[in-house]
Amino acid sequence: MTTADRVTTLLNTWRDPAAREELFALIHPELRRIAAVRLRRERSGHTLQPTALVSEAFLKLVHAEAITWSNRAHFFAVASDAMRKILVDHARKRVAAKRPQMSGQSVNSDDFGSTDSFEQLIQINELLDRLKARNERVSEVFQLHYFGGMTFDEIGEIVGISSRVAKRDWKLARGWLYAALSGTKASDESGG
Amino acid sequence: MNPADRLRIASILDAALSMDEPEREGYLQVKVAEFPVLRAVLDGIGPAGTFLRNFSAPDDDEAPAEAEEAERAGEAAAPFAGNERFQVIRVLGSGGFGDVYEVWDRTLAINIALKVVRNVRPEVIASFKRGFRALERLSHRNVCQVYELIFDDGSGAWLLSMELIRGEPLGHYLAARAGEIRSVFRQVSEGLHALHQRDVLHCDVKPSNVLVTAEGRAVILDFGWTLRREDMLSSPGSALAITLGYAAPELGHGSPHTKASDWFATGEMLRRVLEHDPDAVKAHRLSDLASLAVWLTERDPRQRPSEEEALAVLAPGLRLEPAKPRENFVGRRECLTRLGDAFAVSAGEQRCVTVHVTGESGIGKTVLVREAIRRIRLRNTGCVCSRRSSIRENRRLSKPWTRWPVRRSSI
Repeated sequence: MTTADRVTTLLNTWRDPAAREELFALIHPELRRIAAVRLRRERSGHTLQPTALVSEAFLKLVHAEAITWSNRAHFFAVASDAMRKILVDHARKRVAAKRPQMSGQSVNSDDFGSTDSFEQLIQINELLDRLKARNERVSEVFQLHYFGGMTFDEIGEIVGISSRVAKRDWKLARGWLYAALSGTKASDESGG
Repeated sequence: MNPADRLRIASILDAALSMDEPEREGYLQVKVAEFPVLRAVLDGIGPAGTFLRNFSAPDDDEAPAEAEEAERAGEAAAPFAGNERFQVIRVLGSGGFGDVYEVWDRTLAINIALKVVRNVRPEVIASFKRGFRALERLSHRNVCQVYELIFDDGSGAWLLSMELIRGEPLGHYLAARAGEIRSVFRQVSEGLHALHQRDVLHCDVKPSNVLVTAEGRAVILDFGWTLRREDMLSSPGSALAITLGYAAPELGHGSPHTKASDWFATGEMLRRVLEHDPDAVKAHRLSDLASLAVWLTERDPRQRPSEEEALAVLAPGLRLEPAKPRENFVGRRECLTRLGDAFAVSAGEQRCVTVHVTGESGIGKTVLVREAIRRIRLRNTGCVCSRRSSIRENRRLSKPWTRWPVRRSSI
């Protein structure tokens, strides 16, 4: 059985937790490989579209024409988890390496986050755990949209809420993270 | 953002995170009104919108077109502030087409729920009104009683007044009361059956649209999307949003809502409730309901049980009333004759004849015209077209009759 056949089969048995685990194990390496190629091409702080990466992985790993809309959403749910891990791992390595292009960037308070994306990504990853403790669903919606590039319709399908509620959750999470990150930034700036 | 604003926003959003829908929405609406900076942060305007851009998926609006329209309308319009008759007490939540408030009805001297619907498409309002008329005559303990549909000149909104149900959403209620799963779903199925008996489809059955009172009375509510079955059949897929977790698969392929799709959503609710508490199936002997949930949520609608079969499990012993017979039209012979004569003149002289049918709302103008058209169709071999010109809904005929190259009449 090819990987694509296996992934398609697993998507059809989505309700089984073991199937989801196996799916993650199949999706993660391919997604990481695609991301690595793209990340090598991109300069740090440059735009990176997880949506595009996940979509590329989807087309490689699944018989797209044989997959239902619902199963596509399931794929993206698993992929968003994998994407978060990959991006955060990558960001940690880049920050740890302290490459010149990272340290030489200026920070413009009106354009918050556009030049310090890797640090910001790590902070968001940490804040997401805090957000999860406050409201698991809102945190999940954020992860699915931000790291998985899922539409609100697809998120609604996965989480069991309407797309409008998913969008409201997204707005709330984004607002909360913005306030939290602004606080972190303000304290960083005042401290140094 | 200055530190004081940031702290205030963080505090508001922290509080919002600990709330459930719809309490959270009501809370945020109030706070946004008090503190406009919060609106900018929630909507991602300015720095709040750019801070995620490097890794963000496109912040596209994936809401269905109608919901988007309603949302835009809701955002553009100020919150309903009440009028001479209704005094707003609090926001209960937001539905597909508008907000729902708890209000004091000065005329009835009771607290009621008031759905405020505005700036939606005229045909949606027309369908909404027809749905209301079907529900208006329905009195069932498991269906939220609708009282009145009123146009409010002051706010330009349609106001749907309904029974105020004080209860918990089905999911929350049953999470702590597994022993009542059978009773609650019996009531839900009886309420749904009562709607279907009147040819009304709910179209958005989900846990948050079923409230259970402290006494254990389950009530189906939120008729924002409810439609007459005939409207659905005449314009499938129109004016609808679906809640994806509960939407039958065929809806995703453009099929219209049916009784079967309402039952699919009920089955999905049941399945989720039972999955949430697997021990309840054994402890409370609910294996028949578990099997039914699987059956109701079959992907192929043809494989699902009929309404009668579902009710046999969910509400055994329920006396199934035959579907309401087609309305018999009686009287108004003179009106029918005049409409028939108008058609005869139009057809005979090949010219347009307009007949104005006027009267108070609810007096039966639509039924009269429908009956006249039915009789004309029976007696004539030509093509008789009918179309609603929803003037009251601010919409005129988009396709003039004169374009039709067939024998025609205008009624």
